[in-house]
Formats: sequence, structure tokens, C-alpha cells
Amino acid sequence: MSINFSDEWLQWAVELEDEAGCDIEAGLNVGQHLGEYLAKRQSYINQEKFMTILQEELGNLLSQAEIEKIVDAMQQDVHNRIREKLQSPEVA
Amino acid sequence: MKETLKLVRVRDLAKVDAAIVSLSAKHLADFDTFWKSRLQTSSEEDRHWDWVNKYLKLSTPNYEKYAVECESITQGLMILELDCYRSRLEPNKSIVYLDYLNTAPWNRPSIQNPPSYKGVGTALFTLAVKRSFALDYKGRLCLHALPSAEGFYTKLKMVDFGCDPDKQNLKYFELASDKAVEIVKKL
Repeated sequence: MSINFSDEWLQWAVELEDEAGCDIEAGLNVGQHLGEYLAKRQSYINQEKFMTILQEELGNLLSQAEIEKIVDAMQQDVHNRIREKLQSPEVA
Repeated sequence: MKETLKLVRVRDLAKVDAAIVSLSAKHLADFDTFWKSRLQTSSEEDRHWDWVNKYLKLSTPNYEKYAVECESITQGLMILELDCYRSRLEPNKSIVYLDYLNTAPWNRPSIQNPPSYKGVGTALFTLAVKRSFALDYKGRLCLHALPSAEGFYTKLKMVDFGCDPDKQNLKYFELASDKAVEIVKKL
């Protein structure tokens, strides 16, 4: 995906923000907890941690490319399984 | 992932280079170093945080996380949830949920007026709309807005569904496909 943020877009954005005259935020106000919030979101499946474990345990048998391939496949598998379980999600 | 753009630096009205990138540890470090000290703690915040802690246990990994960088500092952050929500305007149709969006404290009029940079929040919102089109969701986008930000979403002609008791009574807004088309036409 490539987005062309043109000069016209910027002019529109500035006018929009001036007219709204308010903060731009969405979601709950987590304020100073934001770092923790983002870290928790980030670490649902910590790809780096998983890769480090595989490197430590299997690094002498598998190449970096092979380990990355395993991690990517695992992430995709988890993603697909959760999607299946959420086939009938509640309305937001 | 990297999308380049310009922001307006308010002090001299210069158009300065910026980029939207995937969230990394650098952005979390920027939050701790530059943002945190300028954010006031409030009872509302603690209440929301208690709720978030419970909610996170139910969360899925299906998120995309973005940051706006400008002049080497994180200027805004956003989290999108991609396929666990359905539209209220078009029932059963998939919709992108804007889980979290915020700009740096110095870009918020409620904390610093005038802000340091303009365009940060709108850039992230525009990216979210583009992601919705890329996923073939036709620009559909929804979010829960804090009272201090409702004016922005009203200006974007999002539909206001009122307070949502399931989300700490924040107002639920949805962007219809035709309004999303108007937004991407601005690009």
C-alpha cells in the first residue's frame, strides 16, 4: 500500500484540525499507562522472543532464514485459528 | 512499512518531512522519555486502565500498530484491529476498528496551544481509511471517541451512535463508505 499525501491533502488536514479545534484521539484514555498498553498489545505473541528461543535451542541446526520461516508460519497459524473462532463476532 | 508525508511545523509554518512507520521499541522509548512527563494522571485514566487490563486478556493478535515520526521524535501512535468487528451501518460487513489513536502531548490543543505540528492525527486517520479500502472493506471504519475528540469525528461526518455502555460509555462513531471515499479524494 502506498499513499500519496499531497500538498492538497496537507492543506485539508490543517484546515480540518483548525476547524475541529480539539485533540485527535480515539479509544480509552490510558494516559501515562500508554507505554504499558502498547507493550501488552505488542507482546501478545512476541515474535522477537520466540525467535530468540529458537535461535538458542536450534541455532546450531537451523539457519536464521529457516527460523524466521518457522516464526512466520506460527504467527499465520495462530492468526487463522483465532479468526475461525471469531466467525460470529459481536457488533462493536 | 513506511509512508512519507509532510506536516506543518506551527512555529514557522514550514512543511517538514515525516513518515508513518510500524510501531517499534523506539516509539515506546520516546513515549517514556518525551510524552509521559507531560501527561497528567486523572481518575478517568485509572478507571479506563482497570478496564483495559481486563480487556487485554480477551484480545486477539490481529492488530496493526503505527507511529508518526517527525524530526526524529514520535509524534503520534495508532492501533488498528482488522477483522473482528462488524459494521452497524451495514450489518455483517467487516469494518476496521480504530482501537487507539493519539498524538504527542505537544500536538494536543488541550495541553499546548498552538500545537507543535499539525496533520499528525489526520494522517493516521487517513491511513486507517486507506487500510480499510486495501482490505476491501470499502473504507468502513469505526471507533470509540473520548469527549474531547468528538468534534474531530463530527467534522469528518462520521455517524454518531451515542454512548456505548460496553466501552466505558465512550461514544461510538462509524465512517460510512461514501464519506470514506470523500476522504481519500483529498489525497
